[in-house]
Amino acid sequence: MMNKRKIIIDTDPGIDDAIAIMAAMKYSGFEILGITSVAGNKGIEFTTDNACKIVEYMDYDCKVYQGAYSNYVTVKAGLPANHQDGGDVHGKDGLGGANLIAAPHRLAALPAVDFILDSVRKYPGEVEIITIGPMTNIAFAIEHDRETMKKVKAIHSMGGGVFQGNMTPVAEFNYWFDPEAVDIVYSIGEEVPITMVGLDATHQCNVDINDLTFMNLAGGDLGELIHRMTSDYVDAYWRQNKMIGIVIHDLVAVIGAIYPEIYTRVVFSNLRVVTDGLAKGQCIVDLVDSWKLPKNAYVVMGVDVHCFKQKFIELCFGQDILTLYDKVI
Amino acid sequence: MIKEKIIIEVDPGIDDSLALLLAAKSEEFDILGFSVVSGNIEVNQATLNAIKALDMAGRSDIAVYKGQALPLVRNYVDATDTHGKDGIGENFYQVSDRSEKESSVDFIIRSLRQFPHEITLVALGPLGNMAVATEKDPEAMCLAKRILLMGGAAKIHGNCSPVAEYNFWCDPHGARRFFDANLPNVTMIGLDVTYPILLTPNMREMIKQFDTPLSRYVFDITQFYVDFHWKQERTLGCIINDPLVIAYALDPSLLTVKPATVEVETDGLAIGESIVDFDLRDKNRAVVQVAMTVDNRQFFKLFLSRVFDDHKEDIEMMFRKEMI
Repeated sequence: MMNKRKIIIDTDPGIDDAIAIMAAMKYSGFEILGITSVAGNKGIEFTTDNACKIVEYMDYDCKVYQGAYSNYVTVKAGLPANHQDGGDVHGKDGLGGANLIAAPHRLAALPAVDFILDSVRKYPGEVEIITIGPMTNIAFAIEHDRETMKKVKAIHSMGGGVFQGNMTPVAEFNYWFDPEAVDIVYSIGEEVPITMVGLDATHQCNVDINDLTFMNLAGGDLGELIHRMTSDYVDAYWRQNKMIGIVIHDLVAVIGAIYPEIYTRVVFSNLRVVTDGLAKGQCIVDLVDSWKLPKNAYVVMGVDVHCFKQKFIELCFGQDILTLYDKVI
Repeated sequence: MIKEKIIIEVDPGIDDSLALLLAAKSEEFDILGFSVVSGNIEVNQATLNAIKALDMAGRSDIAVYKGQALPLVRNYVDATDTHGKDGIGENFYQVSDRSEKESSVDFIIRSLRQFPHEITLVALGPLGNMAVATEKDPEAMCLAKRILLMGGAAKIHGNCSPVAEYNFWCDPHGARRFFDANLPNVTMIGLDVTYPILLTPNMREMIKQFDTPLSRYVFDITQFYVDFHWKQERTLGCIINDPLVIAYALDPSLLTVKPATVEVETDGLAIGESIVDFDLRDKNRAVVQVAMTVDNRQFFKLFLSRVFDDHKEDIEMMFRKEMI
C-alpha cells in the first residue's frame, strides 16, 4: 500500500471551507491527521462546531482541535475577541443552513497549536498543512517551536492576492483578518515550501449554476448538500459581484494540493504582507524578482478552471458522474 | 413605426408561454390576437395559460380565441409529461377565462381578409386548426404575408419518435392537410434549429435574481421543464422551441433557411414524420423554407433583453462576462 500523505487542515468553516474539507476527505491519498479550527468566517465556537459537524457528516476518522479565538495580536494581548467576522455571507451558522448534525464528541481536548506541533514532531518532514482560514494557529506554532515547524513538509495556503482583494481593494479576507500571522508564517518560507492560492487563482474558478445544478441532480447526497449549502452564497455573489455562480476559494487550494497540474502558472517569489495602514493585509509579491530578495512563496497565478472542475467532480462523485458531466456541460 | 400585424397560434405549454411573453413585449408587433389549440395541453387549460402569460407581460388587452380541441383523426395525446398537469409546470395559477366568443378559425379568416398580405401568421402548436381554416377558406389563407411554423424535423432526431416532432406527431393529418394545401410563403422552423435553444441553469439563475413577478413566473414555470429534460434525456437546462419562431419574425438573421417541399406521414412507424425534400422532386408542391442553422447566442440576447427589458444592463454584462 502506498504511503498516504499526512495532512492537517487548518480552517474556519465556512461554506467554502466545508466543501474543501469534504473534497479532501474524499481523496484516498490523504491521511488527514486532524482538523484545527480558527476564528475567521465566524467566531471560534461556530467554526469549531462546524468542523465537528463536517467530520461527522463525512464519517472520517479524525478529531477536531480547537484553535485561536481571534487574530494573533488580540490573542497575544489576551484581549476578548472583538473581530469582525465574515458576516452573513456564510449564513447564520456559517454553513448556509446545511443543517448538519452537531457532533461535539468529535472535539479533542488538545489545543490546535499543540496538536500541530505534536504531529510534526511525530512525523518530521512528512506533515503538510492545508490552511484555508486565518493563519493564527500556524503562526503561534511557529512562535512556540520554530525548529519543529521548519520540519513541516509543505504549506498550502488559501489567502491573499496579488492584484485582487475582497475585504478591501487590495486585501483578501484571511490575510486581512490576521496579517501578523501571515508575516510569521512566510518567515519560514525559505525552509518550507508555501503555496499561496490567492484571489488571482481562485477567481478564475467560478463554479456556475450549471455546475451546481448538475451536482444537485447527479451528485447524490453530497451533491444535494453542496447545492443546498451554497444557495445563499449564490445570492450573495449575484448581489456583490454580479456573478452567476460562486467561487469556492478553499476548494481550489485543496484540489490544487491533490492535483497540482490544475495550476497553469506558479511564480516562486518574495512575498511580504502589509500589517498596518490603508493596505493592511495586502501581499506585496515581487513576481518579476526585481528586488532579488529571498523567495518564500509559490504564488499561483493561473488555473485551468475546466480541469479543476473535472478533478473536483471526479473526486467527489466518481468517474461515471464525471463522464456524464463532460457530456452534459 | 409601422407595426407588423401578427396572429399567433399557441398551445401553452411552457415554451409557448415564453413565446407569448416575447411577442407581447415586442413593440414591433401589432398583435391582432392569439389563437389557442389543444397540443401540449387541452385547449381550455391552454387558453387559461395563454391569458396568464399575457397578464404577466402586462398585455391583458390582447384578444384570445379558442381553436381546435382535438386532432383531426388521431386520438389526442397531450404532453403533460413534459409540461406538467396544468401545462405550465404545475403551478396551478388561478386565472379566469376571458377568451372571445368567435372561433379562432373565423377570427383568422376574417383578419386575413381584412388585411390582405399584411399579416404574419405564426403556428406554434399542432396544425389541425390551420388545416381547418385552410379548408374553409383557402383563398384567405393565401392572403397571409407569411406563415411561420414551429414543427417537424428535417435532418435531425425527432422528439416523439426517431423521426417525428411533437406538433406534427400529435396531429399528423392536420399537418399533412396543411402542407398539401400548397400555401405560399411558409417557413418551417423545426427541431433542426430548436435543439440548441437551451435555457441553461445559469440563465435561470440570472432570471431568478431579477426577482420581479415576471421573473419569478418564468423561473417557476420552467422548473418542471428542467427536471423533465434531466430525467428524460440528461439535458442540463430546458429547450425552449417556440420563442425562436417569434424571434425569427423579429430578426430573420437568426436562422438560415433552405427551400424544400414537405410532406407528412400519417400512418405506420414513421407517423408524424416531416419528409423534407431539398431536391424539390415534386414540382406540383409549394416550396417551403426550412430552417437549418441558428445563431442561438443572438437568440438569447434578443429573448432575454426583450422579456426582461428592465434588466438589459445586467443581461448585457452577463453575456460580456460569458456567464451565460
